[in-house]
Amino acid sequence: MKRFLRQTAAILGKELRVELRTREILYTMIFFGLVIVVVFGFGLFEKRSAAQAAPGVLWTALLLAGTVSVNRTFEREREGSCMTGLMMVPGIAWSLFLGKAMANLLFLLITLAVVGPLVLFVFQYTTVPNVGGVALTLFLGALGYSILGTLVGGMLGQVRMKGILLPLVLFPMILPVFGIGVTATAALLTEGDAQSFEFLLDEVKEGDELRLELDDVVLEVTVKAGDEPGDVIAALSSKVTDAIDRERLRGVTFTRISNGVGFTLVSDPGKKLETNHSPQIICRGADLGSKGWGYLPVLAALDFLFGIVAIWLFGRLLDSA
Amino acid sequence: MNKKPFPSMLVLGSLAFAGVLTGIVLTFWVAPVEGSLGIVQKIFYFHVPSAISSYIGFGLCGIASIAYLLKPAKWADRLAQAGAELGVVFATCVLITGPLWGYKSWGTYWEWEPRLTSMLLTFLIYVSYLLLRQFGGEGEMARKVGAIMGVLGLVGIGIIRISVTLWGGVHPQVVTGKGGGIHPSMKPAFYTCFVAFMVLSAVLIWLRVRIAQQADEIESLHLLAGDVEYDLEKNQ
Repeated sequence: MKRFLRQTAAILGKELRVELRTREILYTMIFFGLVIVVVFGFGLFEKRSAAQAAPGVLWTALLLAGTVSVNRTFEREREGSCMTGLMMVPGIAWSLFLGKAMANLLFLLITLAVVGPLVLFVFQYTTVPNVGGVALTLFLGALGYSILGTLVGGMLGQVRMKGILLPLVLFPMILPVFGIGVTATAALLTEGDAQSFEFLLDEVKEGDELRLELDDVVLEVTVKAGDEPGDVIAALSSKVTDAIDRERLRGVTFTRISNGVGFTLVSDPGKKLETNHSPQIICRGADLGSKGWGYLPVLAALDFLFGIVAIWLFGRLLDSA
Repeated sequence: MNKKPFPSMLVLGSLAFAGVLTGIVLTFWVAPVEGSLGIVQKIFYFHVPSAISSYIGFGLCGIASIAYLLKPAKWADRLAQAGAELGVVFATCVLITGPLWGYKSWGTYWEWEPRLTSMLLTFLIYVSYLLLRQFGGEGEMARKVGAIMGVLGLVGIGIIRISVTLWGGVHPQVVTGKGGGIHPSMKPAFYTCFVAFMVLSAVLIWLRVRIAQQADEIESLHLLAGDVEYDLEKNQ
């Protein structure tokens, strides 16, 4: 028993000492945790219902599942030590990169074809608006991911701690695409349905003017003495209700949020929303739905940019390696 | 190799020290306390120069990385690493002071707002760069991989700026006040801090590059010593 304890303590002590000297496990682990928090923050922030979380979940699945194929990208070549041989072929960089990237893309798409419907099923989507748009968004996301993933997989191939470093290097780089992808998917999935939009106001004070602009409709409420936030809400919402009739908005709901008054505007796609208050708060983009398609060219442009940069960098990588 | 940069380093270092000290004095004793934000507004004098310094660091890292990929030279590699470290340190300052400020002025610590989000993502990219450099091993290949990462980071900054603005359109974009202009009475403190941070950044970069340079020298001396030892043993 004593021997058992001594041995255990020796092993534990050695593990801790190694970690204390290198700090490689803790640093990478904590950073990985941080990245995951940001991924979920991006994917799920301000999503009220389970259904709204679907795009975030879908994209997160893409991100995490993708590491499997990206990690394997140059693994076989490395294990078989044929990387050096490959690199001796003149002008191989392009074919090598494109072939690998296309394989990664294909694997991702097949995975998405299985996971995508599953996510929609789990989140109880009975109909899927803009199926084509959603599919295209996912395709563009997967394309960017496979381009970047192939480069990162290739460059980390020769590096220590590759398996751990891969997601750490890849995720922050792909997060902008991820963010746009989630937003676009969310917009496309909810188009034709109510859009919600919310912003915070600082505490409303007497004499403040609240101003809401919805295209050509302008709503103004001046806060009177003794007005509670609830009264302001009531005043604004009655005015907005008038506007709803004229503009056929879906409806407006006002809620109290800590630190002041928040309100949720539920409008048709294509409406611009602006409110002025001191300090001035400008809100844009209530027109989620119509924006959905608008994101696609951006995604495509990012993919293109990634492609150019990745091929150049990949060429440099192989150059004198 | 620059063996004795000490006089000039001393001058620059003292300048940075004096600048930061003056900046602190001006910030806390000379500049007025801002009306609506109160004492929290003092963060501004350090927050903004930190942000600028961090982007300078990241920019240096990216440019030096491109230089390294075009022509592998040790100095470029060292400069890239120094730039990334500087950037990460100052970005950390920004990410700590930002929420403190934000809580007072927007009523919330964190908002997925374009500027905040892009700072966070840029920070993440360069932390991952540093982790890669730290744990990815050494040698020609690791340096090259680091340089690739540095270039990707630079591209990343651009992409983040574009996409986060687009994407941020859906989330509340918080714009406080009429933006921009600072009160004349705040200018001396702000500009002093700004200059002090620039000089400080230069000193830090310089020192960091020098440390890397000397580490390499020690490394090669070690190897040399090993060779000599081997020769001596053989001759005995």
